Amino acid sequence: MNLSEENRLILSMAREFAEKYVEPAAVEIEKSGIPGELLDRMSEMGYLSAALPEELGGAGVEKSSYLLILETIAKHSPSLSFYTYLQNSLVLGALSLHHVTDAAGAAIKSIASGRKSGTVILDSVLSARGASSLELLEEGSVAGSAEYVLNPGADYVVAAADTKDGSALCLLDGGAWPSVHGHSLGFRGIGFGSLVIGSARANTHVIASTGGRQSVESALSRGNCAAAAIALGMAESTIERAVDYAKGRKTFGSRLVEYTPLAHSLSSVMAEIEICREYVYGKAAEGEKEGLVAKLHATQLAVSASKLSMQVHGGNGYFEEYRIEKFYRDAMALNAFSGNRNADRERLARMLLGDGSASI
Amino acid sequence: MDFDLPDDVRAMKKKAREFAVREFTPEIAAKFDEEENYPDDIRRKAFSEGYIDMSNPWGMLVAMEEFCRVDAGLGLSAIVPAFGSEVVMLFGSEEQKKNYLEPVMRGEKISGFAITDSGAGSDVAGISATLQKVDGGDYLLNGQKTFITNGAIADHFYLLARSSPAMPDKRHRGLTMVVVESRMEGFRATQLKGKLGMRATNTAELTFNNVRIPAANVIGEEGRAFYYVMTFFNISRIYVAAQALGIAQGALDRLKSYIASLKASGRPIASLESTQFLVAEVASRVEAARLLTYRAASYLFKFNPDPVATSIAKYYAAETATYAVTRVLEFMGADGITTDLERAYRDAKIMEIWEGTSEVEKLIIARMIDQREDAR
Repeated sequence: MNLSEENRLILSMAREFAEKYVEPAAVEIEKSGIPGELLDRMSEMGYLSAALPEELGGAGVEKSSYLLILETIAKHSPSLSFYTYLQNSLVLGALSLHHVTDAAGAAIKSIASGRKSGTVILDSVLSARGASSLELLEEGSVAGSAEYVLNPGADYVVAAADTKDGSALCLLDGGAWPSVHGHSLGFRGIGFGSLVIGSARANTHVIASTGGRQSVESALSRGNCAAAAIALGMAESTIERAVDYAKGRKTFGSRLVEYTPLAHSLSSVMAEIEICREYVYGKAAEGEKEGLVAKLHATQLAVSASKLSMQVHGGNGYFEEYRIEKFYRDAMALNAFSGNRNADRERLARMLLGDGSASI
Repeated sequence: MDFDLPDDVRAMKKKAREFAVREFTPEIAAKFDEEENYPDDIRRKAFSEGYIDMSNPWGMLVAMEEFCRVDAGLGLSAIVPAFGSEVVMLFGSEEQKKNYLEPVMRGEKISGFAITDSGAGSDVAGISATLQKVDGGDYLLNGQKTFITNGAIADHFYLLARSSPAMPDKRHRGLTMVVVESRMEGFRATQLKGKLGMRATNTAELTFNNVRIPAANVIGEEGRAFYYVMTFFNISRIYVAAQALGIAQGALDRLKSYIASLKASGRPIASLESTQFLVAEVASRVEAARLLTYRAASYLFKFNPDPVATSIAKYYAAETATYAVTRVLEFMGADGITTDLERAYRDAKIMEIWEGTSEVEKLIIARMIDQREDAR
């Protein structure tokens, strides 16, 4: 893998940061959310606006540097990494697709500082049910509800709201009431819940009066390689833990790594991770198809790697103490929240096989 | 060869399904999962409706399946109070049966089975708890056990410990099973929290500090317990297969009703062949797991257990549980992980680990398959 000088510097700083600040907070993040102090440090490092160009108020690192940051943090705390992706790729990503208004500028500044946070309503993308929708009313307010919201307590909500002739992209800085669900499968450190939205006109900022849904979808699609980087970090971490365990744990008088089935399984997943990593940093940022390939493959890999790691750890892995079960949960949550897998697979088939494919 | 369940078993299956749907409401299931508490109320109800009855093993098996189909944590909790009792039924003295088996069968007491310790899970003969003979023929028990189901709620345990040092190549000898009561001096149980799934079941670590075990509490013969444990696993693995089967069937149920709701709203994904294939693939495995499980059970319940059939059933059903839930969850995405299928995903994984990991089952299959008398 060819790393630029900037990549190398950022990677080494991210590793140091993750070991010093993320690792010790990882358990607390899952239990009671991301500590404010950690968000301050994330902001100081520029992580909360890493992907946003400098001229828009972001840290403006190279795309591959952004991926390295996500990957590195995900090894210690998938929740914090997903949160970073949510702010960068989705919230700031959607806002920066359009002319940055004063309201958007203020939101960007607050999010980059770590003092405030945002979320994006993805229901219509994530759900095949024809989920609840939002409406931009004539008086300029937004009403409706959303069911699948990560970080439901966010200060800013970016959402596509239906209009008479399409959908608008709106930024809300109030008027969204969260109802947080208790025990979600994954990313417990971010929180998951639903929102009832009834924003006043003063809290509703129309970022783009048309193409709202497309903006949200575009932000998600542009973030595909970022989701892949998170998945990669999770897969790596869970397998590193399995390797350590398999080298130390003895059963029937021999170390686990000495047994062929386990050694073959572990080494083949390690090889897959290596290939996937080359792709994520080599090609994934090149285009829509490549990003999609990277995400579909890496998120699947995170699921299978965490399953293998759990099996290697046996009964121990089933308990939170070993911090394997968290990856098992988060990997599936990443699958569900980084896009709609069925729609993504259809899209990929059409890119590779042409229109009309994958339709029967 | 008859693939139909007898009428009485079918009736029991139906009754168990109704019980599970009625008692394991989404709120109750979520509550016990979240709080990591054992549902004693459900245990009592299940007992009073006759689901713990060792004279009706088919009834217990299909009840386990139907219970876990609705919710595995509550489902197992409802049937597990008698865990380990087969050992005393098969190898115990009349007095032991009177003191330990009968109160459990009357629903008054809870039993547990304690094999695993922190250094040895699959490697049963590698355990470190010890029994040391003292004056008068009693024993002193020392050591610890971990991941013990019913650990903090059971009144007594059928426990495996080493009563004479392991000899090279004959490690399975010198192991003895005794009944340990939780009220005995020197016994301590600490509930283990933070499980990924099956959180309504009680799991604990046990420690023994010079616990005095009367000679009358030795099950069967001293030094022969490895055989008792393996015999027990031939029984318990079939029940694990039934748990896994229930989870897998539950995932298929949820997939079908999800697709039906998409069809109703005219969503194209419901009619795609890829969706139909998913149903077919999951359904085929569920059916295969069911046939294997029932077949292994039929040998066992005729007192002619086939360890190969048992291990194949347990291995295959466990893999089917994680396969089915994972496939369905990946398909349903956010629509799935916001339902109780997420709990099934957490519950399913342990099926490949407890009562013999998939790896151990595969070793048994490979090593014993040539010892079968006929081409079963």
